[in-house]
Amino acid sequence: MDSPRLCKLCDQKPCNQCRSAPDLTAIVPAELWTAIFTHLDVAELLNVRRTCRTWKRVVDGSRSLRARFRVDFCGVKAMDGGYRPVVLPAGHAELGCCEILAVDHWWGSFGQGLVSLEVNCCGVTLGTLFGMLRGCGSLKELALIQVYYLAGDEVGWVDFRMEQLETLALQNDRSDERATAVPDNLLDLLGKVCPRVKNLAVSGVWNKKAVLRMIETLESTLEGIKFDATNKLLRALSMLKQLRLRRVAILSLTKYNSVVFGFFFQAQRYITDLSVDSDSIMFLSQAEFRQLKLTRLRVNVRAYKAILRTAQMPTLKYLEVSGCSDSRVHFEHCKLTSVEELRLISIQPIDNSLTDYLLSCSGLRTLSLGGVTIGNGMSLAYVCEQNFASLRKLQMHLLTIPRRVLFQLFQLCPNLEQLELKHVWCVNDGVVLKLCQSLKTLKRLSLHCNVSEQSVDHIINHHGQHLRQLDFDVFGELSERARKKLLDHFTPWCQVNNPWHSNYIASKTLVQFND
Amino acid sequence: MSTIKLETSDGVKFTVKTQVAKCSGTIRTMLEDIGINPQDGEAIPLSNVHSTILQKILVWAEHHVDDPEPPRDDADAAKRTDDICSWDEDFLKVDQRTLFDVMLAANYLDMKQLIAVCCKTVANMIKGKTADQIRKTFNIENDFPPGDEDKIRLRNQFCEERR
Repeated sequence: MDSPRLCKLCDQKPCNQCRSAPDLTAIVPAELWTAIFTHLDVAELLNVRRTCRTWKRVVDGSRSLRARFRVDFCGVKAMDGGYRPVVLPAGHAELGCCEILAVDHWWGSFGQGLVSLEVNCCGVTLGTLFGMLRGCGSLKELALIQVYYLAGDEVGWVDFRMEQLETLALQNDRSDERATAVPDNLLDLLGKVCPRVKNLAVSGVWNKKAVLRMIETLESTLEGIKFDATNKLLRALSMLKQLRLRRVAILSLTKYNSVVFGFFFQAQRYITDLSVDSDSIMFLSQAEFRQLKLTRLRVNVRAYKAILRTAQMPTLKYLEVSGCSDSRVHFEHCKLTSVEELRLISIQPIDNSLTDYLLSCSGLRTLSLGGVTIGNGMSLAYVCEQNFASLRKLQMHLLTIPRRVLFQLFQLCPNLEQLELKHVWCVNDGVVLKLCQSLKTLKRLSLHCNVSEQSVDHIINHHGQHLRQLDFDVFGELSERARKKLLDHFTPWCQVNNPWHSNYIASKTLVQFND
Repeated sequence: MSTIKLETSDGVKFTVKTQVAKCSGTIRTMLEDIGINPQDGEAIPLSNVHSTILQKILVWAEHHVDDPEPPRDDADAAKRTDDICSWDEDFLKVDQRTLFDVMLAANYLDMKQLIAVCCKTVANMIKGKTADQIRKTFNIENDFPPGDEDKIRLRNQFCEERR
């Protein structure tokens, strides 16, 4: 016989209503809970995990849910025998800025669950590193960024393989002196341990011959590489018969040589995804470029000024042009008119060359501007109405743009469905009113700008009926009254999020490879 | 139009259009693979489903009988919950007990679309709530030993969403 329990809701003597309610956690099977929890974000999953033991077991037991957790060890000074972290089972782990001395006593089951591991600015001996890797049988992604190698346990050979590992990123550049000395045999060892790598990023001080040996080892599985190119290396890669690359990112180049480039891209003509930087930008107007069938192109402008002179590429769907703090970019000779998504990061487009380029892209659906400066010289006044009729999504983060141009833009995009304005300095309540009046088909709106509660009224008056999602965050506190108003006017399915969480579009890492 | 008979756990018999009944993967398998012949007039026993719930589920199946197969999507990313159609939204405006009974029955009957829409509805009941509020909502007991909860909360601070 069960002894009468206190009521769970009122904490008092057994009450009939509560006693008759079934224990949901017991009658609903784990696979249904997993299906329900799939719809939650990480913060919500963590709340679920704290609710009761059954749900904790469900979350921890599901590989796909667990994979969303990321454990960050940054802030630990040294991982030695006395370091005993209590960590939740996670799919991703980042170890940063510490000396990894001994982890055997806690790494075991934690390492086994990992699908992705990033070691950043850490000191470690080769013995400890390979000991950790041996315990990560499910690892798909490994990044060793600015790792410095401590003296002690040499590793001459390895007796295990990480068959699942698909992405391997190695970066050791000269910004940290400790990271400039890398063990001679590290690349060879990693080549043996990870025989199925599809994506390889290797940049910095690595010996070019060792890099070539590694690529040769991985020749048959490799699909993507990011690397510092030299003409010698490009020439050697052109000779590899089994190498068939889909994604290539040239991070830096010693000296542009059109013959070597022509030869390499003729050999690797199946590339669909290409990144070039200022030094190799000239390739975009070369004849061999035209023979590729690219779908994605990234151009990283490191120079103060650049002209984006390109041949036509009718297959191209995605173009990203990024710079460093307001590199001036001229778009006049850019003939990449088939793009559906255009992303500009930290650049300053020259005058109206961007306007002209945008007008030539008749199928543009997504425009993202992050850290971009639009000068006073730009005007959309001469653009006919509805010229950006194909545009569905507009993202603006950390943008400097004249208010006049912003107003013009709203009027030119009659079919816009999704708008994100985050830290756009010129946005005030008047701009919100204007966008509410102009954009009638908006379904999702994200607003994180210096606006007052007046904007809440504008949104409710104009868009209360149609919006499917609203992420609203003001600088400072939103009053209880405004919050209630928002929640009252939107259906429960419409999220009113505060604070904002969405991907920061300017972020990019060495590890990321796009398919 | 052909019909079949279904019998619920409480002995109530329903006559249902075959096409509507086939929204259930379980019934479809019974008819097609195991070869139960509906012409015999024998009712298919659904021993896990109560008549009040089956009635509700049949209303849903009738409405969705012509729906196309949904596209498969990425299993690992957080899925949307704001795309429930308004008919389903109204359909699932029921008390919590009924909502879960419908979900469990849909699971037993293998009706993927109905399961999905129930899951989204429950997920929306969890969204934006603290652990305490979630417990209240679903009448769940906090069965962690005292003191344990704080530890977990602390551990959670290590986590951030992967971008």
